[in-house]
Amino acid sequence: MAGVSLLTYGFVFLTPGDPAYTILREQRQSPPSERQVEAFRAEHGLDEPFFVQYLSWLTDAVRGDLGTSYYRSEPVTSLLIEHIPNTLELALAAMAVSLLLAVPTGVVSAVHRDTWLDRTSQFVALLGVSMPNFWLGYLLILICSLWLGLTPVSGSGTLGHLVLPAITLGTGMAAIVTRLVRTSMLEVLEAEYIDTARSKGVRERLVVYKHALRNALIPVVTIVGLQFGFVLNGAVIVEVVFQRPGLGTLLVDAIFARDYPIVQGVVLVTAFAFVLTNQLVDLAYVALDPRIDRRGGEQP
Amino acid sequence: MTDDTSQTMNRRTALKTTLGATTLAVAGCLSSASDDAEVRIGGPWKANRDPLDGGSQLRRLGITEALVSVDYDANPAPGLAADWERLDEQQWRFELRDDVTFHDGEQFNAAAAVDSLQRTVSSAAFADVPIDTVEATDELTIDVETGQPFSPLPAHLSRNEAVILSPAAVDDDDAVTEPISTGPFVFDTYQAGSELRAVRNDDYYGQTPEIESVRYEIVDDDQTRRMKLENGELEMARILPLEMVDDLESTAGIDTYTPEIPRIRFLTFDTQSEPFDDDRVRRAVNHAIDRDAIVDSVLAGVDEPAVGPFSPDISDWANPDLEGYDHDLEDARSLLDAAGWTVGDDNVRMRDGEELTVEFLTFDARSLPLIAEVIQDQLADIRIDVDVTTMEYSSMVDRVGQDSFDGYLTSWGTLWYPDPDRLSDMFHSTGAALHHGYENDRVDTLLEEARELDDRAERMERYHEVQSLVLEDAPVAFLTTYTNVVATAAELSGYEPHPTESRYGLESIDLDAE
Repeated sequence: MAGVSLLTYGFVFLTPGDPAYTILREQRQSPPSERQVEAFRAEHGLDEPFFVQYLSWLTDAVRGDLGTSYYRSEPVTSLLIEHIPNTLELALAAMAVSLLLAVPTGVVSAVHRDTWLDRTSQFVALLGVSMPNFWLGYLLILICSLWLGLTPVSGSGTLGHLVLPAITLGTGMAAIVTRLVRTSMLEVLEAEYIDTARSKGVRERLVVYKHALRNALIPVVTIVGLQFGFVLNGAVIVEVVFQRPGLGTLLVDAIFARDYPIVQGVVLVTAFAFVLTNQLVDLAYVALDPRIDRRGGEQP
Repeated sequence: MTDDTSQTMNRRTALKTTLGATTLAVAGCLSSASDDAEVRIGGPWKANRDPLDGGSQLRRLGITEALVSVDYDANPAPGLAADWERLDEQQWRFELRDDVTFHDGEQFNAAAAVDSLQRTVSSAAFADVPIDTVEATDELTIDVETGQPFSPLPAHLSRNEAVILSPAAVDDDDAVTEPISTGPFVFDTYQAGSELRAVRNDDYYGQTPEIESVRYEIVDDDQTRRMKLENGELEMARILPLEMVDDLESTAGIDTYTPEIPRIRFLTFDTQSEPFDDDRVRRAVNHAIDRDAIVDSVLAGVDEPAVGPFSPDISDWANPDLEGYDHDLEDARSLLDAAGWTVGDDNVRMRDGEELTVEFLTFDARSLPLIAEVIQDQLADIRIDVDVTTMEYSSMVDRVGQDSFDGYLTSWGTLWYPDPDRLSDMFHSTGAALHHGYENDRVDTLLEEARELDDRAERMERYHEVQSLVLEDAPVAFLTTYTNVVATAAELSGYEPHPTESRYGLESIDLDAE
């Protein structure tokens, strides 16, 4: 995490664009003068050399103080706390949407391999991967909000506000997961223990859902874990389209404003989320496959 | 077997229940229409609670007020100060209103105003306003002394950072979490990055608003803002793109406003490096640009060609005699020929074996990159080969501040504090924040004199001359004026766009019962 923080700090620092100038202009909606820029730099310690700035940030960060936003004079931690729930909600809802769509479709595809069902779902998955998030978002707003009047256009707070963004973000991911479930299922269905199960006279439905799917899900869980990064990535765009005050919008605004402390904060939280998801994925393996044991790792 | 069936049943039931519940929940959200007497405004600008962080939204919504306000002719006007006078060159006296209370019930008086102003004066935002002292001389009088004769003082005291806060609004760490001021609306709730709500101030000394509350929502995306308005989730959508105007005007239930604001688009030349160190080349470019074509092709025919920094429609600081450069390719060509850039047999314009190739920088704003491309096309007609580079704004500013360049396209507010001293930021040889490197002693003298003079007519004479000189010398090429597109729900009445966007004027707004 320290490495991540140094890297981001360095990258942000090297990005052309002076934070003092940029923030003053943004705040006042008009370009500032040289003297104002200098005063702002002095006020926020931006006239110090890189390592002095980084070290002073780091020492505070270790004590749990992530600094104060240059742009809105508020502590970064409280801004993060305000924005995290919105993104988490969106990420979880999108994951739920994608799994609810992908797993059944993937299984049906695999079981009815090379039939029209399979081809249709493959085609839809291809469409899903290819469709840009923001475009799908506008399309959904147009249909569901403006034409059908079912959901609000944007905002946050209620379930109604969550539906469209979750679908927008979930479908892209669903497309990838569908294909993965299908491949993985096909592989497992070829396995010998499936033949064994069938020859014992186990009903086909049970073979598919209990014997095959459970085994097929292991690689899927890995990918879904990694997809969490994709979700955060996609949240940046989806949050802007649906005007949800989450980490994505916070980060984008901060990057454009050169608001270093916020960029740092969001990147740290994201890095932490990745570490945490990986842990959760490992735990999920154990639940899915008792052969993977916590101490010994995977066994043949 | 039986087991399995019942399990399946259970699953199905569970699934049905979930679906049912979701449908209900979604339906439930639909009926959550907001209070009728609340006006919801959507805009891209962020809102902050501390006026020193910009404070424009607090001011526009009518939460904060300053000693000086800005009237609908873009001039300083009485605000919390009922009157002011310039005692001598460097001494000013402001007489405060006696009927004002802060939102928290505290009496508004000179002592409170001085505390608040001192916080402003010592901030980065006021770094180049030469205020030496701010003192209360009695209960309702404030004296301000400037370090040099400084005529734009009232204009600076009208800025959004110079609003007056109640002493209780600033905490021990000098932070503001609740902007308690004196306006027609009282700060209510705030969510960073998403919204700010204010309620009516029933004890307001001026016109009490009709509407009960206002909710400002930050909606970054242009399309989303418009769709929210159409879907009845906003009563006002601000700063929409020009290309939406036609569509909006033909949409039932929506009123569209296209007020011109004191802002211009222009091309800044580097007058210190080839080829634009030669004023003939700069003038040639000015003649070759067809501003009407830019307005029609990129700006939906809404904006107008600009001839100077101010538009006569907005401010009488504009020099009414400016003619601007007519679109004349012959003049352009002969100016270039005279400067030594001639067209050879291969149809390339050259001087001393060097081709006339320039790079224009611009940034990813709505229409500037497109305008740059139109100019590229237009200059090809006089054989100037233009490369257009679009960057992020901050990168562009860095680039033109550090190295020599050819030209960059940008837009600037020219009266964001309502005084033509803004021209010093644009054209003074040492004071300018534009990077043209332009030096004209006469312009410098005029700007310095006008900053000190008290008499409006004498100042105007000088600022008019500056505008003529700058047009002639052409350190920049003025391109077009600027229009804000604001759309409101048709039931919203009484809205009058303010030229400097200093206020939304919500106290005169009403929502008609349908």
